[in-house]
Amino acid sequence: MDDLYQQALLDLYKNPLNKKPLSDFTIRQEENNPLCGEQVELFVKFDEHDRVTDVGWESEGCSISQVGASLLTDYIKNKTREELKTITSDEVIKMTGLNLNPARLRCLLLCYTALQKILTT
Amino acid sequence: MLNLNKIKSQFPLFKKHPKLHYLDSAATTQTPQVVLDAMNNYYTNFRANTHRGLYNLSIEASQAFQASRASLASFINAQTEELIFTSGTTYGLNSLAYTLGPRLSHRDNVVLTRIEHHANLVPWQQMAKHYGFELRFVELTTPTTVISNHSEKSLAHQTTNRDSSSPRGSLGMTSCELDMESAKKLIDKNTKIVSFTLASNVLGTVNPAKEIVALAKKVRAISIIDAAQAVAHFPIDVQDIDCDFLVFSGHKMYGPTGIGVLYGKKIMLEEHIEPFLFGGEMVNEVTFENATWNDVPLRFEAGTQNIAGVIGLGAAVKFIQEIGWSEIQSHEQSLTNKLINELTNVGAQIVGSNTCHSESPVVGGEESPAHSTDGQRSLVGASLTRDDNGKVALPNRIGVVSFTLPGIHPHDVAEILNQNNVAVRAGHQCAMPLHKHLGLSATVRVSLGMYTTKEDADALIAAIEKTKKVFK
Ligand SMILES: Cc1ncc(COP(=O)(O)O)c(C=O)c1O
Repeated sequence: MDDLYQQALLDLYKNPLNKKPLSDFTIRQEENNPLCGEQVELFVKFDEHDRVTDVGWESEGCSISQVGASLLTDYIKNKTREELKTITSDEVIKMTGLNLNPARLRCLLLCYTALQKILTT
Repeated sequence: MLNLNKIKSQFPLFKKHPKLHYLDSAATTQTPQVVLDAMNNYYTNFRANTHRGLYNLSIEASQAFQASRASLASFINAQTEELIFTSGTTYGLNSLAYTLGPRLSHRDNVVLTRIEHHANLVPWQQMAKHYGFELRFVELTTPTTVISNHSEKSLAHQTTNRDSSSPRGSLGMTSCELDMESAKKLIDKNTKIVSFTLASNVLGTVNPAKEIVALAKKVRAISIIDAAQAVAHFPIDVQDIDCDFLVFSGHKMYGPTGIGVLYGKKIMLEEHIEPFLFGGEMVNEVTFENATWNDVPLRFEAGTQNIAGVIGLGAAVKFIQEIGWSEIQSHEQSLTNKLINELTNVGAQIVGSNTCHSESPVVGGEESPAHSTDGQRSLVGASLTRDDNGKVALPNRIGVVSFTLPGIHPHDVAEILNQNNVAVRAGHQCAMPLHKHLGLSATVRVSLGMYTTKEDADALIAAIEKTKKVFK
């Protein structure tokens, strides 16, 4: 927990990756965290081979959810739908190197949950 | 003044966590030793079911149960038969919605307010869907001052979140009181129920309960009060307020979890509402085809009750009364004012009223007798603030203070406070629509109990300074 607000993550929070709405997308998915009322909106563009060609997200959440969205969206670029299905929540948690409590895990995985919904539709 | 160290030392949790600054008493209060002892005493010395056995233990348990009922009743100036034990506020409000909702039709309306906890909103919403009645919401007053020093970021943040029902104009940051003109307009001849919170769990606002109840009475609507946030912070007199029902939870008044109270005016309980749960103890005579009901209030307490909880809650009432309302109120009021001032000084935007005061000075100071000489019942253990007519005056707010720090998400604030042993709530505090209405997605909430100290407030402010540094 001590490194929760370490510099690298804070920088990522202040300069998030892929944080933009897409006007040209294949699927848009919203996800809410009822614990805090937070909302994330995830946009994914797939090409004809079901490969991610563009990704964007919007949210006004806390630093953890923003970091989670940045890391995840960067990770899924150029991957196929099938490859995306193999990404586990543990992988996302590992990317941060943080040891989060259950409440904050929900923040971190909000964007991941949105992605899961996209993958099952 | 309260001897704070002495009070705090009566709560074992603070011994276990000497560094903790617990500022989340609006979510649940801590438990004093006397409450734990009372429950332990029941479990170890006279555990038995109530109202059933003819043996000594059961008689002792039943007597303790009934003694708690009597204490709770006098605590809110009700009659003993008017007091029903429940599992908490949520249960009380649901049972009323389920009982009263089916009587309404599409011509009727139920009036709530913009500041209700989900517990006093969602049950009515569900009933409205089934029975077609309309839900109306008493508005907040339109703010007069606009807070201008928001950062760009939080401004954008707030405007995008506003819903269409938001008050026109400013950010709504100072809008924290019910608009009685709106209440007068909304409560009309088709209003059948008016249900509202006595004190807001977000803004801390105390609503003008008597005035609202009077409006309800004018149109013969049933009045229901959610006293969950109020009950531990100022005396409640159901006769003076004249409401039909009032509900609260034990765990927000230094009592155990899983126990609460539903007060109903005797005539309401006897003639206007039917039991909600059926089973043992609530019946009088049962055949294979039919059943008749036990007397009030037993007919509303089906099955084995939370006996230890009831006994613990009785002990909590005694604990509050022994300290006395004037001590509790003056301590919490001055601490609330200190908190608001210092939070404002470190750049926090307070959502709600900026000062805490009573409408007239506190009178008395000693415990008043249970029965005054003219035979009128008066509040037990209460040293009350009264208005010119000798009526109980309500404070304008309680020690529930919600705020935002521009540019820093409430979750992040709460997380860093937690790392500094300061426990606060962050999010929408079970009032999502209100947050949206005020144009906020989330807030940080600090809330006081009788055991909260100046040191707790100082630790909060110091931790906020640290938070600002992390996110500078
Ligand atoms: C105003 C208000 N009403 C109702 C409730 C629900 O109380 P409980 O969870 O004890 O049923 C709360 C508790 O958070 C509250 O603050």
